[in-house]
Amino acid sequence: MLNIDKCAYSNKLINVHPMEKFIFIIVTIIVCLSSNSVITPVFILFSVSLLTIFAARTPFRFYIKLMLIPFSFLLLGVITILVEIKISPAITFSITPQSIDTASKLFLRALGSSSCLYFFSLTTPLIDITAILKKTKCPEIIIELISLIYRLIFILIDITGRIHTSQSSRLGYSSLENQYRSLSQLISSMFVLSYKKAHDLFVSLESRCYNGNINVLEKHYRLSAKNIMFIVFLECVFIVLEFTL
Amino acid sequence: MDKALKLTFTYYTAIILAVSEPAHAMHIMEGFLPFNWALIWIVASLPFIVYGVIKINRLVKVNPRLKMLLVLAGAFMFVLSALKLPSITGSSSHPTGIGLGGILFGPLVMSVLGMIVLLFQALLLAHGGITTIGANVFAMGIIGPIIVTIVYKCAKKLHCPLPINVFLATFFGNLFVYTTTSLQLALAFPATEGGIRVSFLKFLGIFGITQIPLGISEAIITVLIFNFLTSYKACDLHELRIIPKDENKELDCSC
Repeated sequence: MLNIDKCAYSNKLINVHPMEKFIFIIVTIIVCLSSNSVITPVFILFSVSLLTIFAARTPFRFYIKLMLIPFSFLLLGVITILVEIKISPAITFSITPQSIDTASKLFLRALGSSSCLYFFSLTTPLIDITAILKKTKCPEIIIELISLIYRLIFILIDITGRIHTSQSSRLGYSSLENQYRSLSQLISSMFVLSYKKAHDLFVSLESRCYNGNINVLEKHYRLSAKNIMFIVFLECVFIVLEFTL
Repeated sequence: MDKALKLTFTYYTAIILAVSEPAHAMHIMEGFLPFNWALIWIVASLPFIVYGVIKINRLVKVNPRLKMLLVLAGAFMFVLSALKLPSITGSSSHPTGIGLGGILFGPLVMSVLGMIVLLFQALLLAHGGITTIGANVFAMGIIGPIIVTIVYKCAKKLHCPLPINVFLATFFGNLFVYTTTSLQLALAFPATEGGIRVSFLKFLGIFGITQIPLGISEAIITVLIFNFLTSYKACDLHELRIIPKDENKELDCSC
C-alpha cells in the first residue's frame, strides 16, 4: 500500500547523507517557487526527475503514476485561474494573455516543486527524516510521536487491508448502501483495534523501561564532497538560468 | 487555436482527469502556493502548533499514557485518509477525518497531530506538500477542528440527538476546510478583474462540485461510525472525551 515507503528503502541513493538531499530539495523548491520564468521550473522538473529515475532507480511507471496523483487538483486550480469571469454587465468567461501567463507559470512551478518533493520522499526513509528533524531542534515530543505513529501505521494498514478483503469477499461493497455500512464498520473496528494496538505498544515499551525517549542507533552517513559539489553546481545552474532567461 | 489542437488538448485533459485520482480532501499540492504565501501560512499556524506542543507536553508529564492516545489518534487519522469513500458522483475520494478527530480528540491536539498526519500524507501518499504544509495545517488542523468542536458543543447545548450532532459538526467542519482552502488560493491568486472576491467565488464554485457531496458523504459515514462505536465501545469514547478536561484522571483501559 505504501509504495513510496518501499521505494525509499530500496533506492540507489539510500546511502547518500539525508542532510544533503534535504538541503538540495529545499533550495531547489525555493528557487522553483520564486522563479518567474518558464524555463527554470521546466529545467528543474526534468533534471530532478532524471535524478529520481536514473540515479535513484525509481521505476518509471511508478514515478509517472505519482506525478498524476495531484493532477486533478492541479488542473482544477489552473483552469480556475485561467478562466476570468466578468459579472457585470453580463456574465462572460474569458481567457486573457495575462491569465494564460499566470496559469502556465503556476502549472510548471507546481510540477517542478512536486518533482523535488518526490525526489526527497522516494530516496529518504522516514527514519532518516526524523534524524534530520532532530538536528533542526524540532521539539522532542513531535519526533517521538512521528516515530511511534510511523510504527503503528503499518500494523493498522495490514489489519485494515485484511478486514477490507473479508468484507468485500462477503459482498460488503456491492451496493452504495452496503458501501456505507461496511466502510463505517471498518473504520469503527479500526478505531477500536488501533486503540488496542497502541495500548499494547505502550505496555511493551513501558515494560522495557520506557521513559519518554527511544534511543536507537542511527545509521552513520558520510558527507561526500562530490555530492555537495554536484548540488552547488546544479543550484548555480538553476539560478543562472533564472536570471539569464 | 485551430480545431485539431483544441481537440488534442481536450483529449489529453480528459485522459489525465480519467487516469489521475480525483480530488482529494482539498490538500493544496506542493508548489501551488507562491513562496511568500507558503511562508505566511506557516507563520500563521505556528502559534497554534507551539501552544499545542506546550499543552501536550504538560498533559503527557501528568499522564504518560496520553501519549499512547496521541499515537493512536495520529495513526488512525493517517490510515483513515488512505481509505476510499463510497462515491455518489462516481469519483473516488478519501475521508479527511476532521470531523471524527475533532469530536474525539479536540482542536488542541488536532493542530499538532494534523501537522504530523499532513507530513505523513505528503511524504508517504503524495497528498499535499512540504511548502504548502502551513496552509494545509491552518485549514485542516486548526480551522476545521475548531469549527467541528464549536458546532458539536452548540448542538449538544441545544439537546440535539447524537447522530444529528455528529452530522452537523462533520459537515460544517468539512465545509469550512473547503472554504478556508478556497480563500487561501484566492488570496494567493486574485483575479485581475474583481480581485480576491471574484477569485474566491471561482475557487468555491469549482471545488464545491466535488467537495460538498464529499462533505455530506463523510458526515454520513461519521454518524455511522459513531453509532457503531457507541454501541460497543462506549467506555473508550467516554475516556477520550474526558482527556482534555480532566488531566489527572488515571485512564483505565481494562474495559
